[in-house]
Amino acid sequence: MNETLTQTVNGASRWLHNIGAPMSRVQWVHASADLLKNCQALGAEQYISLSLPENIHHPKQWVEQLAARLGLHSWAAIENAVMLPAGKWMVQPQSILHDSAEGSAREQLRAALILSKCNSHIYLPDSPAIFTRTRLHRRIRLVRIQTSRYYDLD
Amino acid sequence: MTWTEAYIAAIMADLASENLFACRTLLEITDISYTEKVPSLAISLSGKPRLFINLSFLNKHAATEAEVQAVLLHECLHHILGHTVKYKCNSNLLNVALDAIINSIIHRTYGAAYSHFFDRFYPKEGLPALLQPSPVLGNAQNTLHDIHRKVYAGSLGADDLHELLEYLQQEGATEADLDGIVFIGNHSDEKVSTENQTLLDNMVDQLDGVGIWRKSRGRGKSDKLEQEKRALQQHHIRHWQSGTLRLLRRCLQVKDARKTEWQESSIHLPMLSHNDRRAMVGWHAGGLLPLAQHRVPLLRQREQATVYLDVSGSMDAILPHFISLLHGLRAHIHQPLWAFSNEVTPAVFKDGALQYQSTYGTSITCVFDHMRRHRVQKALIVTDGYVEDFDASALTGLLKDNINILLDPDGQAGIFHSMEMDVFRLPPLHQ
Repeated sequence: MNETLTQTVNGASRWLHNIGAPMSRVQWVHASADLLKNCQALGAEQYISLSLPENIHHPKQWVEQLAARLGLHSWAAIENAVMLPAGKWMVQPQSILHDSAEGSAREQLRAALILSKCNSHIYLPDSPAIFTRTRLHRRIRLVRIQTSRYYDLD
Repeated sequence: MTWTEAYIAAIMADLASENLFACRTLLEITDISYTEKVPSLAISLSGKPRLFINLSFLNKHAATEAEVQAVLLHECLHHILGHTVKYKCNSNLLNVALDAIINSIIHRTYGAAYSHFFDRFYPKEGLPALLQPSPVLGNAQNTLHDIHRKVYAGSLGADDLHELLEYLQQEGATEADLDGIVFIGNHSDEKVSTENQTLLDNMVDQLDGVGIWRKSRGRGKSDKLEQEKRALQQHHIRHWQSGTLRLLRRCLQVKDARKTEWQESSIHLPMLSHNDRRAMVGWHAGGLLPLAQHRVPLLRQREQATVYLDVSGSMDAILPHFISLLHGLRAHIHQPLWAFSNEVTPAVFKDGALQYQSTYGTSITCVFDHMRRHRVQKALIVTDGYVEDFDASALTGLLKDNINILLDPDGQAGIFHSMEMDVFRLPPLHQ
């Protein structure tokens, strides 16, 4: 009575040890998960966007002019004056222009520096600042994922 | 657009950082030389990788960063796909075929923002039209249309290159016909050094082949899981469509008594019908001829629903899904569709897109004012619920039961519940 049945599913052999249970009792359950939707796993977050004027031909020069308005005339001075988020953050695209996009010159400078260090997936404070229109136009949410809390059900 | 050397270097750094087509390694070790000696740009891999860029070519033809990246990717793909090594002969016919395949890969993978460069740069008639993504002008029955469609749909891959070449020759294309074409990148049969060939082989290993080869290799996620995700999303989309259609039916009204349409209707007659198998069974069992359902076309006045779509800033993320949903159901929607933010403006579907105006604010009272002014008795309001507060006086002269609210999955229903209005919340599209 205790037969071991072999079923072929999509070309792959599967062994059923369910003592003669009909195939209809075999159930397929697909699990999927998203770190960004798991509130437990989400740590700090920041929304960054910049309202870059359309008539700007050279984004880097625009950022330098912005810094000069704040009395910052070198990149070393800019990096000292602007507090950038520390550590690695995930980048999630957003569609909404955040309030800080049209904030003070200092806020805009900070947003420009952060965006220049983000590619479409990740922000690293040590990565080189690349001033392209594509980067400065991004509206992003920086998210810290706490993987240690992902499976925490409490 | 005026591109400077520093700006081009930044665009290359950005391209390397994004690692499109696994070209990071190549771009990071490549020295850039700006020269007028090459017509557009060229990568030399015979020694240390060197990229030659003709800045005046880019200044003249590339309008955006994406277009500069498209030109760079075009040249990288020639090397990654081994065109310079595989094809020893160098003819204009071969160059058209190779470039058409590469441009189609860029178009399929990164879209029109990138491929718009080729769209502008190449003519839309004759064989050179294969080098740009827009449909070929002229007779739509022409074989060239068919080849163009297949190339840009990805059904003619690099492996089918010889078919394309054969076609070009069958059509009587000669080298002389293609003399005027400016090919982007290096089309000379230059040698690739052993070190650089190893580098290119490693880059090919990093590619998963999606959009390039017909059968891509699964890397990190299996094709089966992707198919299941797609099937699940289709299921959610069908749920959206059925829910919305149910609401639209509640809002149907005759807008113009002169407009009629044929609609299928069912009537019962004492005559068997192949549509009504239940009646057929009843007849076999009882022997009496039952009333069977018959489907007949009837000419009726056309009924359509008035729809108000929230186009405020908070709807930005979900709006493309709603537009797609309403586009699919547009036969049931009275045109123009009304878009509302702080004011109600007409919105029309044109070339598959919705054209509307928005102030990015949200006030729903303007919708109720609009309904009163235009004597709209029934309406469907599509919104995320993040609207300015309103009180019962805003609904004066309107029947609450005739106003249906279709809410985004994450929308705010509180204000409508407090007014005892019917709200249908769509299920999440991604789970």
